[in-house]
Amino acid sequence: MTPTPPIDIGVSPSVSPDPPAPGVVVRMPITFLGMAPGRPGFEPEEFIRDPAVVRSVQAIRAAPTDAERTAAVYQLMETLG
Amino acid sequence: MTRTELPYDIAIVGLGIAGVPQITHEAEETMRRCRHVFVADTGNGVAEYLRTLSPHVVDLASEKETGAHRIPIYRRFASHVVSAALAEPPVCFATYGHPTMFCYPTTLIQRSAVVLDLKVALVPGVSSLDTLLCDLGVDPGSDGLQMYEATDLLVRRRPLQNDVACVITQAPMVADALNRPAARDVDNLALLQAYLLKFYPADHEVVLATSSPHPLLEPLVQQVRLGSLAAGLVQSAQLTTLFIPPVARRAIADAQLAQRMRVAGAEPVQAAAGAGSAVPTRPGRPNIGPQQPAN
Ligand SMILES: C[S@@+](CC[C@H](N)C(=O)[O-])C[C@H]1O[C@@H](n2cnc3c(N)ncnc32)[C@H](O)[C@@H]1O
Repeated sequence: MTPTPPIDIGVSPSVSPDPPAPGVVVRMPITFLGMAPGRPGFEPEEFIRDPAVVRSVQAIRAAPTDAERTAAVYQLMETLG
Repeated sequence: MTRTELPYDIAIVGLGIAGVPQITHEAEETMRRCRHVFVADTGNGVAEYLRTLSPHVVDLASEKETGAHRIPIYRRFASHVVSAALAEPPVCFATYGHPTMFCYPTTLIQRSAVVLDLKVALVPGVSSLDTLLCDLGVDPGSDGLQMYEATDLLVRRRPLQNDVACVITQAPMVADALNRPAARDVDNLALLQAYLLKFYPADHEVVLATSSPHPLLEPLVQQVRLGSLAAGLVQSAQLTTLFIPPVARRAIADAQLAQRMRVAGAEPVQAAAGAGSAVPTRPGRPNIGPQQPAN
């Protein structure tokens, strides 16, 4: 089992006191008409342990400019669907 | 309530189908309160109107690169919104129609919000399903309604119930992953037609409906036989929705329950003898009542 990454990416209740409710939509299959390659589903608790997600979130937090932050968010979007 | 006290970092609002008059008060108030508004709606005058509500409106239309795959376009929409929400919340994503009606950027924003601990609020808008029901005078209460995205229908070979009305979105661009508004691929349209013919007869009349995008325009409603659907879709507007009426009405399976639901005295009305024997007329249309045999 992969250990929990040591950064705050705010999904598990132990990390953030008030996580946003995931809702139904985030638990639906991740691919859009099979056009976006991805995982079979989106379960936040597993998803946030993925090293690619961790790297994106670190890059988002560290981005010094708007353009770099937007580029880092785009990287995260690529893992989301 | 000040901006910083708003209970969300990102508001996702629907703008309706018919331009500015269909924007709800709720959506408008939400946009006023946000620091930035990102708009994905090419309706006449919509972006201009939003600029009267907010000093920081970004039109995402320039991200819709023609010929590009649709997924990266949606990811770019979502990235701009989420990035701005991290820097200067609250921000608003204002999108055409209803925000969770076939709108993938909404899904991406919601997913990334879970990861990044952002709070999202959704504000409904008038969807093309709403306008379609009005344009066609359809009430799903009578025979039900099934609704599919055209490509999804083919990819998953979803079964259709031909005694239930059916709405199929994105039919003109079926099986096309690219953003090519004017393009129509006849082979792809033929695939859709062939699939539907597994469930409906070729002479079944279906409807290609485009709701008005502006108060000065009428909706376009065109009937075609299913056997000629591909040819009809080649000429259709980009935003056409395919509506397939039921082939037949499903028979009542539980007669006892149906009987229980009948309103008291719902027997056929007998003509009252004598009283008011004058035939009620309608100017320019047949009289009301039994038809008189032709002399
Ligand atoms: C990407 S979806 C967006 C739908 C939008 N979010 C809504 O709430 O209706 C686009 C599809 O919605 C339907 N649609 C959008 N505008 C329409 C209109 N003016 N008339 C009929 N159908 C429309 C069409 O089926 C079109 O392919």
